[in-house]
Amino acid sequence: MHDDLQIKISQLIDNELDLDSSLFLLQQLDQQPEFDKVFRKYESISQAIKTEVYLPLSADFVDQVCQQIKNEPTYLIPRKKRIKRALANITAVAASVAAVTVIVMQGNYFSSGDVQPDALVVAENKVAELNGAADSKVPYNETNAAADETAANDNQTFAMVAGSRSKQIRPDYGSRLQPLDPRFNNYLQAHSGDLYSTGAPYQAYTQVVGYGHE
Amino acid sequence: MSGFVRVFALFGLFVGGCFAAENKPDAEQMLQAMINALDGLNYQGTIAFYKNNQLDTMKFYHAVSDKGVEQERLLTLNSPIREIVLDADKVRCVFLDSRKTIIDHWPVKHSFLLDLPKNLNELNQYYLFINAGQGEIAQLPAYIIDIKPKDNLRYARKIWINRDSFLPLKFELLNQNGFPLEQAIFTDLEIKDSLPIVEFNDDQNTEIRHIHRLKKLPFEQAGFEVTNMPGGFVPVFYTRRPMHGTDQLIDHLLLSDGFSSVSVYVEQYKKDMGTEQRSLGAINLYSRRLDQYQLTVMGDVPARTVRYIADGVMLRNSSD
Repeated sequence: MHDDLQIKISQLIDNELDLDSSLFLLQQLDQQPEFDKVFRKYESISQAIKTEVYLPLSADFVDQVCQQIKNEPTYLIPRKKRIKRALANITAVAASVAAVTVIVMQGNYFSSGDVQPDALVVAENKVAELNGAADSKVPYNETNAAADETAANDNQTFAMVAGSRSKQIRPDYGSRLQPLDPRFNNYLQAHSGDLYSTGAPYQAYTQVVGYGHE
Repeated sequence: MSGFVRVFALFGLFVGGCFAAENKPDAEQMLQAMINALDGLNYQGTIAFYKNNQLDTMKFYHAVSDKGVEQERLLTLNSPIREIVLDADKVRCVFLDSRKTIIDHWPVKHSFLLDLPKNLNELNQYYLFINAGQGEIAQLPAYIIDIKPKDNLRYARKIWINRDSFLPLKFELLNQNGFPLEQAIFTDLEIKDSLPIVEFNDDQNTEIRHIHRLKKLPFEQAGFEVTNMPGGFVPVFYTRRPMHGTDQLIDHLLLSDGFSSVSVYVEQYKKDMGTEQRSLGAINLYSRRLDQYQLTVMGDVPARTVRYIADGVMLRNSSD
């Protein structure tokens, strides 16, 4: 039995044991501390053979490290003193600016062209999938390009996504901006009531959600 | 008793009454309190809007007079510098640099911030109102409310409501994957005893343009009907208006379920018109030919919804 165990220890050190056998052997070693010396001896021999360098560690090196960790005092994060009102206000402004910055960065990132985060591409595909087969059957009007060009010339542009790269409708994350047909621009303004125009491109007043019942 | 105190006292009574029965207010009660606070309080703050890939930061004022007259004002912080004033039935946009004024007449009251139905009970069939915990916006404590549609025909929303004033601090419009399509956030918000209702005296040097002088018409007068109407959507107004820089009248029907709105346009067909489906942020549109007319449906709803509504639009006295 002992010889067998020694052979297996040797195999373990030489990385010749499969996973199950290795786990079983390690359990045995844990239950029979007397084989610990054998394990260290074989390990030292292996190290010396393979690297021609032998750096002996004291047998209880690991135990010492464990003991020191146990003795380490528990540190509690010191509580900060209560911040003054003025400081709180500054922090509030900073937090707000940070929030706005994040929003801006999101916008810049999504409008930076073809590069999109993988999750977003997945989300796009999922939404396109959700849009259903019926949506994908909608024939793309090839006259869009001409209409869009007209819109651009009329300076009645509005950021708009169209299925220009794909005939399947994709949701707009602001990544592919194209001018919109002036007809749709007018519809958009009439619909939202939160757009204004001075003859230049339409702008949104604000508003995030739609109308209430009267 | 000043208007503010009276309104706030009523508001307090409402909130107290709502929340007395239970220790923890439910989402619907908080939304109802928010609706009352939005209408009844005087407040001002700085708000950042992010929509259509654009960020706008504005000063926002909401004033309510002793007689209950409301006015919202926005002052842009970035060029073109403009002041936008929303009264009950019109939007006035004053461009300070070019001394131009646009007055957009609007047949129904709406808000720059967010419009919600006066009575949320009607929407229980179509939306779930969920208390999603608490958080802080600009170090102001807030309840977080999720408004989730029960079907896939509308968008979800998320609103952060200030625990003290019940004013909204942040709101998001989310697509089906929970990705924000539009956002707005107050970076500071202050409740005032009173704020002035601003009245404009346009001087002669100001160029004024009026748009959309609209009259609400009975929908029965329309030459078309909508047979596919998602649950909860009702006509808000129907009108016929000149558009596209011509005198040609175009039918416009506005539908809403209280949160989402959809417009249906019917105009004379022209040969360059075709079937199109497009998307702009939260807005989707679908356009197709309808006999000798061109039908366009657009709204802040998913693409499938505009398609569904468009498929159900038929000419009256038509077998199509």
